[in-house]
Amino acid sequence: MGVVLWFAIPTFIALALKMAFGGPGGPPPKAHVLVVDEDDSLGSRALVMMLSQGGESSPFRGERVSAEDGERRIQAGEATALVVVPKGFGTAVLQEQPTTLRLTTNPAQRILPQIVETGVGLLPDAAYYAHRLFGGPLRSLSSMVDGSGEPAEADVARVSIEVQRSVRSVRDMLGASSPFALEITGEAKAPVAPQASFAEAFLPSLLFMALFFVASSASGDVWIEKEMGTLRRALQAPRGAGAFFGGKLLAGAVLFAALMTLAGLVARWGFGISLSRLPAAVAWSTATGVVFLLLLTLVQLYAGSPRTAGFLVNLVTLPLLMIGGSFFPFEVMPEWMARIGGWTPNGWALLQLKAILAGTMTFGAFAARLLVLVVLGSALFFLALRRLTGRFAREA
Amino acid sequence: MIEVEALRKNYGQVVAVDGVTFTAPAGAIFGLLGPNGAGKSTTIHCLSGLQKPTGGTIRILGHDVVADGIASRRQLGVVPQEVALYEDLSAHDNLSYWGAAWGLSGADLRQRVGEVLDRVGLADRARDAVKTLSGGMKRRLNFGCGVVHRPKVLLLDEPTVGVDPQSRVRLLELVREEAAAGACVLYTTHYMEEAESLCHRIGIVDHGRLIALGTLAELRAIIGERDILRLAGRFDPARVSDALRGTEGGATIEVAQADTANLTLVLPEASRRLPVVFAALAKAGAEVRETTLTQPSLESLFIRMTGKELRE
Repeated sequence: MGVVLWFAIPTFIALALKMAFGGPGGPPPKAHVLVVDEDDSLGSRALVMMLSQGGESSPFRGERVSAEDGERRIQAGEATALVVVPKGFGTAVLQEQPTTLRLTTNPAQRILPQIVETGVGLLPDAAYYAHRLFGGPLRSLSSMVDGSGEPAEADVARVSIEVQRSVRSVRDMLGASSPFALEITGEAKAPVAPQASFAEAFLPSLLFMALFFVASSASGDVWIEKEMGTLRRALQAPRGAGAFFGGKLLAGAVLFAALMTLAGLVARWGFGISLSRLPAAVAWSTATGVVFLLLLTLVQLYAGSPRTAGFLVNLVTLPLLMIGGSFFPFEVMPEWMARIGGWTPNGWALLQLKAILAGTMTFGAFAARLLVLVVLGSALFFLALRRLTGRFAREA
Repeated sequence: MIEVEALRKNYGQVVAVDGVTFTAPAGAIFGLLGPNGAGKSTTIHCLSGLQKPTGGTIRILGHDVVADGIASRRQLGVVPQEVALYEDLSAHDNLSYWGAAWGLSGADLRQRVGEVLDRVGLADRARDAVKTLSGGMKRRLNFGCGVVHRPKVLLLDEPTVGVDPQSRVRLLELVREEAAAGACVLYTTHYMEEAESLCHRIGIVDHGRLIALGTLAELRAIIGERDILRLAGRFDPARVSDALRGTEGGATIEVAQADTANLTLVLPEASRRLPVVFAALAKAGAEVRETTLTQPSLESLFIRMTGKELRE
């Protein structure tokens, strides 16, 4: 039960993070905005278009609806927000007269409605600056589009020239070439540091947290067996302490492998982890889990009582988890702290797991690191066995 | 057979077992008697391989417990003082687990588990979790786990401590059955009456040393302990004393207590000399209505040898 709980806590955290932020495998969450256009003018249509056609990069997914449908659906909680563009909105904006957009948000959602509020709140500023730059041409264009019949070619040419003059004046004022071309092109081509995905940053950390918690819980078995008297009986069996302790570790390894396989498959489904990297990740996590179990069992064996043992194990576990990248991923740590964390046993093992999941570790490097774990595990095994058959057993 | 020679076990400067030597044959119960802290449990731990002796040798059916530990432990069954069971598992599963730990498997294991459940009287509770069993039932199951693999040598470390009288009787019966089936049984206790009623040979230990060894009769003979003969009836103390002194070997008869209704005599080989005693009493005009003959106890023997009482 304890093992299940210790595994369930990080799993729950992973799922919560997945629900909050999504993983790289799925699309980012978007605000579903219902738009009621009561004006149907050039200005209102532009606004609706802006909300509806942002593409994949847009935080909004707009949908034009009738007033009745919009009201019903926002009340039913089926969308993030409802924006009502009132009649006369376009004219009022062009004439710089007061007008109001009505925004209704979904109280059941917390973050996305705030994004919509912020986005809509920028509109008055955008309208102000558009007026300063293109007020004349816009008014002309509006009267041409909203009027009956085809606009005259001379009027279109006039508006075009006015826009060109406005753009030139802005360009001269900023001392640059085209403000649009300069800003957009420049930003798009700028070198951007690669950011760790959710799976890269959080998932290995959470897996190791689960691993450590399960190992911590399982390490207390020696005290349970001792208090039940079964430890002494087991040590008197023909194969003795080596077989008993080895069997415990084997059971632990099977448990770790099962949990990590399960977690890996969930991660594959939820976060798009590569299936081909899972076997190595499971093997590495299992070997690491066994070494954690050995380390914490050794701590338990040197304690004078179960209570002291629990205290000592927490004393070892919690700082290692904190600085070793399990509570807080290295990616969000200050650089100096991440560097120290990488030198802790679990931090080092975590970095290897990340390399395995990222596909940057060669087979040779993997084998060499696995060998390090085997050597370390063997040393811990013999130390623990010595203690188990010595004073710990005598006091049983 | 258990052969222990000059066994020594030190914990730092503390000598827990100091040169203990004894042999326990097959088909018999060897009792190791002594107070708490005398070294009984340490001796058992060395025999079972739980602790490595500091000196001396121990052989179980000819296998040295240090040099040939696996082979010697395979022959051993151990019943510890405290209940050593998995509380969440059933009685059946505990027996299966410990049977498998000692090398049983398959049909043999299943058959043996069934036999032991019958023997310890838990066949009807076989599938119940141990935590639901009574204390007496747990004790019997604890014994069962120690014998499930048919050990040729059985070590019992004070298995009746804290056990109710009914379960105690049943446990002692089970121990006798094991010996009768040919097992060599080593039984440690600090209960004198248990050792007296159960053991064929007894070793008395104190402060890690074996201070006496032999059958109950041999131990009594070591200290020349005399029997106690208690009589109830009608007596003339003066005439009775004179009459007893005049019998054959009368000098060895001690009148420990005498009044007109009760008479207590201390004498060697009382059961053989009863006709002579009764004849002398009749000659002295005494009328005997009740007779109780008590042989010297291990308790008194222990007191004579150590100068102190056997404590719990």
